[in-house]
Amino acid sequence: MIDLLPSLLAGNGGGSIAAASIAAMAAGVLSVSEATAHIKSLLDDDPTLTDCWIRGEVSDPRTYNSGHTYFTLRDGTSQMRCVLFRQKARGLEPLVHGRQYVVHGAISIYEAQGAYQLYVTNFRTVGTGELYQQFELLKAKLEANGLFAPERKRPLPVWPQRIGVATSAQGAVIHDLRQVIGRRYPLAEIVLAPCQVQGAEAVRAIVASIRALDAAQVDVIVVARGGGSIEDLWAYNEEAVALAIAGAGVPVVSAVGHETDFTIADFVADVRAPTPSVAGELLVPDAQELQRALEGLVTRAERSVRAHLWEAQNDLIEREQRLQRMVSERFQRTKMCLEALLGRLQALSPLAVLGRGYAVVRDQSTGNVLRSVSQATQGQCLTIRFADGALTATVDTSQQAGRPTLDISSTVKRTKKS
Amino acid sequence: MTSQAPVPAADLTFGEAIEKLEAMVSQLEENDTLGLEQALGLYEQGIALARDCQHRLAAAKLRLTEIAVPSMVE
Repeated sequence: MIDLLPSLLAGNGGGSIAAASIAAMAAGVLSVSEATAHIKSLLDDDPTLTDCWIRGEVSDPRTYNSGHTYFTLRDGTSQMRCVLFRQKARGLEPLVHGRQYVVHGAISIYEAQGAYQLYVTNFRTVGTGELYQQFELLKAKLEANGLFAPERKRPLPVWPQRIGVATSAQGAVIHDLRQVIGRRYPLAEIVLAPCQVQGAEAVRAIVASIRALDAAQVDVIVVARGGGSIEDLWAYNEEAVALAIAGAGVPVVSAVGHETDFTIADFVADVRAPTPSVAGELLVPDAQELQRALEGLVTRAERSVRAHLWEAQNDLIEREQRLQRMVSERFQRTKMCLEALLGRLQALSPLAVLGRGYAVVRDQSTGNVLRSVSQATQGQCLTIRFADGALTATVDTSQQAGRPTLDISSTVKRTKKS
Repeated sequence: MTSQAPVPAADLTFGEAIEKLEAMVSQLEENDTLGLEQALGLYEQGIALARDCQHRLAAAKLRLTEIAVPSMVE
């Protein structure tokens, strides 16, 4: 319908459609049967539609008491009502629901219902060879469209929390996935969007499941099905399923059939798992390995913190040693400084003056220094201090400057400087 | 230096907790300029996180939810 629109518009501009309807009104209003008859004549005059082979899956064939059989022919995206009249059905096998057929007939209008349908004259099942051919054709087409390109492949989440599963609610597949994921990584949640996995509804159901899971914001989607014949797995070779997988917003894992079965879904999926159980293993980490990894991390942390402690301790010891060294150096420096000061002090000492030949004269009893001859009296006892010792003396005579000098008897007593 | 504000483990997903733990251990191992107090703090947090992860793993039970798939009505 959407595909037809552009060609309609291209054929008649908006203006000419309006013009045509005005013309039709002018010509007279059509009755429903007149319009239907016109459409019918269009279909019946089309050589493609009056003699065509159409491929699809037969759905819900019903044979009524009249002997006529009604069924739907469908593929992943479209469906078509079909009728097989009793006369035409003679000599033909009964149609089987869910199987692929190539149906021959003419497309026309069933005027009573205003619906088009295929008036079937013949049909045959699609053989394995033909299915294989279809498979190869679709594979080539999708590959040419880049759907299998390695750069399209998304990595699976490392820690999936919600794992979407599109498969049957019954059967081994969901059971296996529960087992494997429950054993390995029970932290996850399985979100099941149940769908038929074979038969007429399978393609649409699988597509709907994938979309529902995508909308449910799971972290990853598993499209899974157990083993079966090529016909059983056929839904996974339909373009609609392939496009739904390619269009999913999260990575998709395919796990269809057995290890040896390859479907189109496998090529489009981000990761192909040979079986549903393996899909479970690919999807989630293993709790036992995780426990070991956690222990490993704890050990590493302990070793590392011990190294930090060791280092801090060494650092402390080193600082202590430096402190001691600094204190003792400081002590040495102070001591040297003190000695230097002492030296300078000595140089300034009056005793040093005595070393140059001077002497200090004191009164022996008072200890007062005599600075003048006038301070001396005859008979007074003096102490005379030299650089190397002292002696005591008694004053004999005294004389002011210019007069006879003080005569000191040098007899009395010698004391050695201590 | 990365922020070391303690994150309550409950706020982290299991994967986030494991990744955080790995980052903490690497920091302990590789960062020589880490002060002793910081190192001890990291260690303490790391061990708590590891134990929390182990408990979570041991206590977890797989959940299965079934969602309704809307039939594709045209």
